[in-house]
Amino acid sequence: MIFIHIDRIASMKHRLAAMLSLTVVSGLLLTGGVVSADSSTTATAASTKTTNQQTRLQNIISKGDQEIERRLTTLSTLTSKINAATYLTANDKSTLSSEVSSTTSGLTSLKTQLDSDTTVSSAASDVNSIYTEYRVYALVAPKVDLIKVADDQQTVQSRLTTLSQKLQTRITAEQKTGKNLSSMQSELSDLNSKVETAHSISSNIESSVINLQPSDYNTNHELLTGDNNQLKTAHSDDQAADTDAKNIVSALKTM
Amino acid sequence: MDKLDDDIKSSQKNYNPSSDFVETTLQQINNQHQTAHRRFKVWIPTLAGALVLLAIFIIIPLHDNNKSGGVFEGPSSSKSSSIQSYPTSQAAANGSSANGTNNASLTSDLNSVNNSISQESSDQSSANSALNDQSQEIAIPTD
Repeated sequence: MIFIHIDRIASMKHRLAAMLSLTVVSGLLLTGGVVSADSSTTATAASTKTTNQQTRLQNIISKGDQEIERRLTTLSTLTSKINAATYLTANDKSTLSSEVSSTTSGLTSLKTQLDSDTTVSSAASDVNSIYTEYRVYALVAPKVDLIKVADDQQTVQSRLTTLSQKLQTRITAEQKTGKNLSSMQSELSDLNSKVETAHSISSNIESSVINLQPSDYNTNHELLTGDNNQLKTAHSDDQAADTDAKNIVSALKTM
Repeated sequence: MDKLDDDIKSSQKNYNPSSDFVETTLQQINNQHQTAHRRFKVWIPTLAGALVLLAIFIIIPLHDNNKSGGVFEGPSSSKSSSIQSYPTSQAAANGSSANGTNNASLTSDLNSVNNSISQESSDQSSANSALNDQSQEIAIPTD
């Protein structure tokens, strides 16, 4: 009886040991599987993230290159416009040409730098520089056109002044013959007044706009709008003065 | 030959021109000299006078015309380097009017003004377009 009992106990120990062993092995296998699954997921996620970053980097560089190229084309057009301008003063032509040239070389260098960027943050920073540092569309292009208008206007005003002096000489000569030219004299006074007002505007715009820099636009996005409106006023004055001159010349021709 | 030489020497010894002949010849030479001198005295002042008249009526007016008739000073803010040329006066160019105030001259100046106003209008339109294009300066998306 005792032997049988001992034998059962021994058998139970073996079973228990076997069960314990099975449990431990199963546990180990299970744990190992979970760990393996976790690291696989992490690796996949990291890989996906890297791929996304690379794609995003390439997209930023590509978009930036497009924007730089677009601006370089505009700057080339501006150079032609400046060189062909008839009434731009030599100083203004020199200043504008220099600005367009430096903007072109700056953007060309920026493109090289952008193309070699390896991180999204550096590429994004370079792309932001395209507009914050150069302001081709916001400042440089309209600046060239506004200065051209201001110089055109001053040419008009100078020619009107020369014509006005001749008209005055002629009117005075006609008056000495006893003719009453008071209305003509009044029209000439209006001409002179319009030219003076317009010239004041045009010369002020020329001297203020020529020195504007991208940083000025960054602090005030409306800074050119007012200037253009003033030039429109000066343009109207020039046209009115021209009408006065036409009327006087027509009247003088009848004498 | 010896005989010929003797004849020549003999002739030379016997040559004795009359004093009348010498006097007449000297008189003729003197007359010719005086005539040349008179001509010289007449022509030199005439030539000098012609040169003075040429200078007064042609050279000086042309010089003044070139100096003041075809030069235009540009905008006052940059006078030193903004000299531009344009025909101020057709009359001055053809010399029909000293002060360029005849009708042709005034019309010419008026045309010059109109040309620059046309350019001004064209450039004003370009400026308006450039200001409209400011909207192209948008932030480039980097997200």
